[in-house]
Amino acid sequence: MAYGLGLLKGMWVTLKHTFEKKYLVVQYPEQRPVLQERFRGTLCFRFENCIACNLCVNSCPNKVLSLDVAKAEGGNKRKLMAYVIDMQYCMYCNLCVESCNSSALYWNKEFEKSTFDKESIKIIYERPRYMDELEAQREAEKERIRQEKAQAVSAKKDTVGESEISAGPSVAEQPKEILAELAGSEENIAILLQVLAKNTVTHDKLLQMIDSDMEKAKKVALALVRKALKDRHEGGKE
Amino acid sequence: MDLWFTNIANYIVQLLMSWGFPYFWADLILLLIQWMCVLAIVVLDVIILIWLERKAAGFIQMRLGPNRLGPFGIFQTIADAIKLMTKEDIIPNKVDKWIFLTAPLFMIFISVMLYLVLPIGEGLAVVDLDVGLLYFLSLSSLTTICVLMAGWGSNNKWSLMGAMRAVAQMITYEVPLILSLLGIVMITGSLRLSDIVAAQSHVWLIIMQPLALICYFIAATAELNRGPFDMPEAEQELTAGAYTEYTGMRWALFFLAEYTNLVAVSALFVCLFLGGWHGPFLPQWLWIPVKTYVVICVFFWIKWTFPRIRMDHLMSFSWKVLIPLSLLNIVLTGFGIEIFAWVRGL
Amino acid sequence: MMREILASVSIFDIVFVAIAGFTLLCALAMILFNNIVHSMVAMIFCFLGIAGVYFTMDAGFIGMVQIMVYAGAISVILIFAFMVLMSRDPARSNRYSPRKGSILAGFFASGIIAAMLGYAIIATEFPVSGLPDAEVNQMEVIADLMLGSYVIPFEAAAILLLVAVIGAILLAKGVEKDR
Repeated sequence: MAYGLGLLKGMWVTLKHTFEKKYLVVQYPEQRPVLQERFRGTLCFRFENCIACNLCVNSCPNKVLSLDVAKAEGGNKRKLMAYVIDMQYCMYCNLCVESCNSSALYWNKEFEKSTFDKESIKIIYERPRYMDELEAQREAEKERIRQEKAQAVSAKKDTVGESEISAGPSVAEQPKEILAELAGSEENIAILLQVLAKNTVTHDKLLQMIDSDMEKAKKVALALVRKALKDRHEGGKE
Repeated sequence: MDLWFTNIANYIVQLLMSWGFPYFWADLILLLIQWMCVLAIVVLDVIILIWLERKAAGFIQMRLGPNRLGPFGIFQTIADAIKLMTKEDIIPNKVDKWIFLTAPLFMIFISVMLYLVLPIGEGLAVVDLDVGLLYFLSLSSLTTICVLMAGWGSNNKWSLMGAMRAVAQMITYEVPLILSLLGIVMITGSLRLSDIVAAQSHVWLIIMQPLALICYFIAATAELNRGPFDMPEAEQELTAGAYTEYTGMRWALFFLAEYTNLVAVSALFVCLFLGGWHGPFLPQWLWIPVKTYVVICVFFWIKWTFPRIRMDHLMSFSWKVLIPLSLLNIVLTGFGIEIFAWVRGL
Repeated sequence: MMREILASVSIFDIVFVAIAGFTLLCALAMILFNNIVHSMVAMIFCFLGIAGVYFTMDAGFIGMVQIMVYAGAISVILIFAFMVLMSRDPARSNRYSPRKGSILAGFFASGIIAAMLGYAIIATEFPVSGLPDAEVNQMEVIADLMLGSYVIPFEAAAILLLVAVIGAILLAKGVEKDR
C-alpha cells in the first residue's frame, strides 16, 4: 500500500504545477533574462589602465589573451600597441581578471556573442589615438609630484639644523617627561634626536606615533637608539 | 442527434442503390468511405496530439510549451511536419533494404487497423466483430514484429539491442494485458465491444473492476513503450533504440504509429472501463473523444511525472507483480459473479 | 463447361483464391529465400494468410488466435532465436542444397506426399451438414466443448505448457553444480 502512495503524491504535485502560474519562463527576445551582479558576459579591456605586465597572458589556461608591445623611442618604456581577446577559447575562469593589478580587465553583461564568421570572434583593442598624449600627461604629472616632494625634502633638510621649532612640530619639542619615557637616559635622548634629524620620514612617523600609540613609539625609539649605538660600535671597531 | 452518422450512412447506401449498384457493392463502397473516415480521424488525432503532448509536458514541468507559432503554439505541428518531410532520407549502406523500408509501413498499417472495431457510438463501429476485443489484442501483439524488423534491418548492433529489449518488454506485458481483461469478459459474457459498452449503461466497469483497471493501465503503458517504461526508445539510452537509423519521414511514421496506438488504446480503455458513449448531455459520438482525451491526458501525466524504470526492474515487475495481480483479479471476479448470482437467487 | 464455371464464380471464390494464393506464395518465398530473416517475415505473412482462410470460413475466433499465437508470439520467438544465434552472413543463411541429387530427392518426396494427401482429400466423402445457425456464438460452443467433453486434453496441454515454462526457466538460470 505504501508503495503506491508515493506515486500518487508525486502525481498530485505535478498536477498542481500544471495549473500554477509559470513565473520561471522568460520569453527571450522580448524579455531579457535577469542577470546576477557577478555574471560573466564578455571580457572587456580598459586600455588606459593596462601597464603591459603580461600577468593576464600568463595566467590564462587557454591562451585566450595576447598583447602586442612596442619599445618606446628612447629608453626601455613599453608601449602597448594592441590587445587581442580570442573569446572562442575562453572558459570564463576569471583568472585573468583576478591577476590584473591595474583593473584593466572586467566582465560586462553581454552574452549574445554569436558572429557570422570565425574571425570576428576575436576582440581586438587597438591603441587609441589619445594614448600617447595621455601617457605624456601622466609622465608630466608624475614628474611634477616628484619635483614637489624633492623640494619639500630639501627645504626641510635646510631648516632642520638651525632650529627645529620653526620647522613645525618636532619630537624635540615634546615635554621632557615624554622624551624620557621614549628613550630613557639623557644620552639616549640625544642619540634619538640625532637619528631623527637625519631622517625626516622616520621623524614624522614617530611624531604621529607619539600621538596615537605610545607603546609602539617607545619600542621604535628604543630600536632606533640601539641601532645607532651598534653602528657607532661597529664603526669604532673598523 | 445521436443518429446523425447512422442516418448519413443509410442515406449513402440508398443513394448508391438508387444509382443501380446492388446492395453488396453499395455496402462495400460505404465500407471504403468508413475507412477513409478512420484515416481522417487518425490524422486529425495525431496532429492534435503532437501539439498536446508538448504543451502538456511543458505545463507539467512548470514551463510553457511551444507558444511562438500561432496562438498557444497550435501551428507547431505544421512546422514539425514540414521539417520531417524535408529532411534528407538517409538509408545506410548495408541495411537489409526490404526489411528496413517496410518496417514503418507495417507499423502504421497495424496501428490504423486497430480503429476498425472501436464503437464511436451505438452501432457506429466500422466492423462490429464478434471477437472485437480479441482482434484488438492480436494486432497489438503484431507490433512486436515491426519493432524487431526495424531493429534488425538497421544493420546496427545498438538498434538490434534496443529492438530486442523493446520486444522483450512488449511480450512480457502482453500477458497481464490479456489476463486483466478476462475479468471484464467474465462479467459481460461477450467479446464484442459494443456489447461490453452496452452492459455499462447503469454502472461503469471501473467500479466493478478496479484491480483490472490498474493492471490494464500499467500493462498498456508498457505495451505502447511510453511513460515510465520507455527504456528501449528513450533518447538517453541507446539513442532511440530500434529507430536510430530512421530519418525524416520514416521516423515520422514510427512516431505517428506510436501516437495512433496511444489513441486506440485510450479509446479501448474508455469503451471497456469508462462506459464508452454513455453520458448525460452530449451526443454519444462526442462523449468518446472527450473521454478518450481525458485518458490520454492521464497517460501524459504519468509519463512526465515518473522517472524511467530500469529494464530488469520492468521485467520483474511484470512477472512478479502484475501477473499475480491479474490472476487474483480473475479469481475475485469469479467469486464475485457466483456470490452475486446466489444473492440474486435468494 | 468453362462458361458455366465462370458464371458460378462468386465473390467468395475470388476472395478465397486470392487469400489462398497469397498464402501459398508466401510459403514458397519462405522456402526459396536465401536470407533467413526474409524467410521468417514470409512465414509471418503465411500465418496471416492462413488466418485469412479461417476468416473466410466464418471461424473468427480461431483466426484471431492464429494471429495472436502464431504470428504474434511464435514467430517472434523464432526470429529472436535466429537473430541471436546467427553466426554466418545473414544473406546466405538459408540456402538450399546445391547438390542435384538432394533437389531431386526433395521433389520426389514432396510429390509422393502431395499425391497421397490429394487422393485422401478427393476420395473422402465430406457430408454436408445443414447451414450453420447464424446466431450461435462460436466461443460458447468452443468453451462448452473445451471445458466440458474435452477438459482432460485441455488440462494435459496446460500441464505440458507449465512443464515447458519451468524447463525454460531452469535452463536460463543454469544448473547449480554441487561442490
